[in-house]
Amino acid sequence: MNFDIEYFFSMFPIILSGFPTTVEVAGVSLVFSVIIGFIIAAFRYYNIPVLKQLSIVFVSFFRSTPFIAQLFVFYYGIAQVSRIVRNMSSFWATIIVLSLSFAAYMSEDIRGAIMSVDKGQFEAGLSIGLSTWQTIYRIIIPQAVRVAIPGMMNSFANLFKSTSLCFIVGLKDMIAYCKNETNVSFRYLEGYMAVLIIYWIILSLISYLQSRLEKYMNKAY
Amino acid sequence: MLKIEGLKKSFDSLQVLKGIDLTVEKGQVVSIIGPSGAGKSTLLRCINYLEKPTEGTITIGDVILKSGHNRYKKVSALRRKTAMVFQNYNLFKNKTALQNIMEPMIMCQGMNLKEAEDKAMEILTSIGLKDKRDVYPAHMSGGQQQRVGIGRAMAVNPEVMLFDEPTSSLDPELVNEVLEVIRALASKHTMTLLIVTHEMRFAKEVSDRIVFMEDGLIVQEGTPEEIFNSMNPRIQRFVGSVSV
Repeated sequence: MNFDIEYFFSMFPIILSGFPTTVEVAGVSLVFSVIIGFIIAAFRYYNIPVLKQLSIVFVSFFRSTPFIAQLFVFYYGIAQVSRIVRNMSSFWATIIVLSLSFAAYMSEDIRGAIMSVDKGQFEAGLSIGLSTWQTIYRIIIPQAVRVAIPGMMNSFANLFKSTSLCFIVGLKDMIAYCKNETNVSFRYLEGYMAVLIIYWIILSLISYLQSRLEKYMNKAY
Repeated sequence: MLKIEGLKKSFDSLQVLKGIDLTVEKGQVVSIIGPSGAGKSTLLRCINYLEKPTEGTITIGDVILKSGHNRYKKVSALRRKTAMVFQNYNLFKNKTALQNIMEPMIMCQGMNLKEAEDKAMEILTSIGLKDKRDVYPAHMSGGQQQRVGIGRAMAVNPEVMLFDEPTSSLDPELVNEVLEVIRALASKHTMTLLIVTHEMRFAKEVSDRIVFMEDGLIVQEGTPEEIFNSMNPRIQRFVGSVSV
């Protein structure tokens, strides 16, 4: 069997019809995972009883179990007992599981970054008369963001790639379009090679963005 | 005027301050000396409310702060009458020299940007760092950072400025440039300066009074002459062990 280059190129527009869905799922999940990750990091950083312990269990669970199994438990398992999940679209189901799963990673990136900021910075803020909150958002967060960016961008890259598993529950993403097409033509090599190339380009762009961002953030150091 | 009455501070079971009484007139320069672990830094940190006093009262001008729970407004009022110069400078690492000095003006005194920038430039000029305005702390020497640290404290426009071993982290050859800045402030006698230091010669020369602390208590306070000629054998040993 030879490589049909024409077919290979014809796959790009077909696969890219799933691009908006992939980007939407990844984007919305990114926002939620950062928000949840931030909250979990705060629970642990401020040592809030009960919530802290729950956070530790949450992070451990989501980081130590396969994403695909998490997705199945939610979409097929919990669906058996919850009407809300049963009636949920695969679009929102994947967003929920991706957000929770990657919140676990994000929270570790965020917590590490906040802890990396010297305690003296906080005291300096208070000493000149800033309130706790003013010190956090004017001094601590800007410094923590710089430290958090590489880890969070890595987590986002993994999140983006993990969206490719969600066709399994019926998400109409790029993989799904490729699968539908190649199931008819049997030209899997050309089809999935095209998928790889597309992901490669997107992830390269993300990593380029990351290095630009890091450079910008490091100008003070 | 700064008045401290019956100030005690414990960390768990460890009592670091065991009852400090101290009154400093406005504009006076007071050095606090004594061995490590005497509670000198803790005393300064209580005055800035970075540590919460266990017992006692701190009065600066019209702000009276008692131990126990205090409303944020009151703590904030005390902090606006005080400013701290830290041993490790603690400049805001995400801000330039100029922005470090502007920060208290913009956030706490409600100055507009232009006004704050002009004032901050005046301060930068007075500490000899006009050309470092847009430089981040990581790109300055320790001496320069500490001068900016003092500049930032000046920007708070406090009644009492607290120096927590301001030259202890510095290379010996950078100590003098920082002492110069403090000397200039001291000679004006507009602000009360409380200086925890191990620079005995400097303390002797710049202070109106010196306080000797040990083991959480003030052992003796007096003029530099009184302390350096103290009859107390402990103080004799301490000031004698450092060449003056």
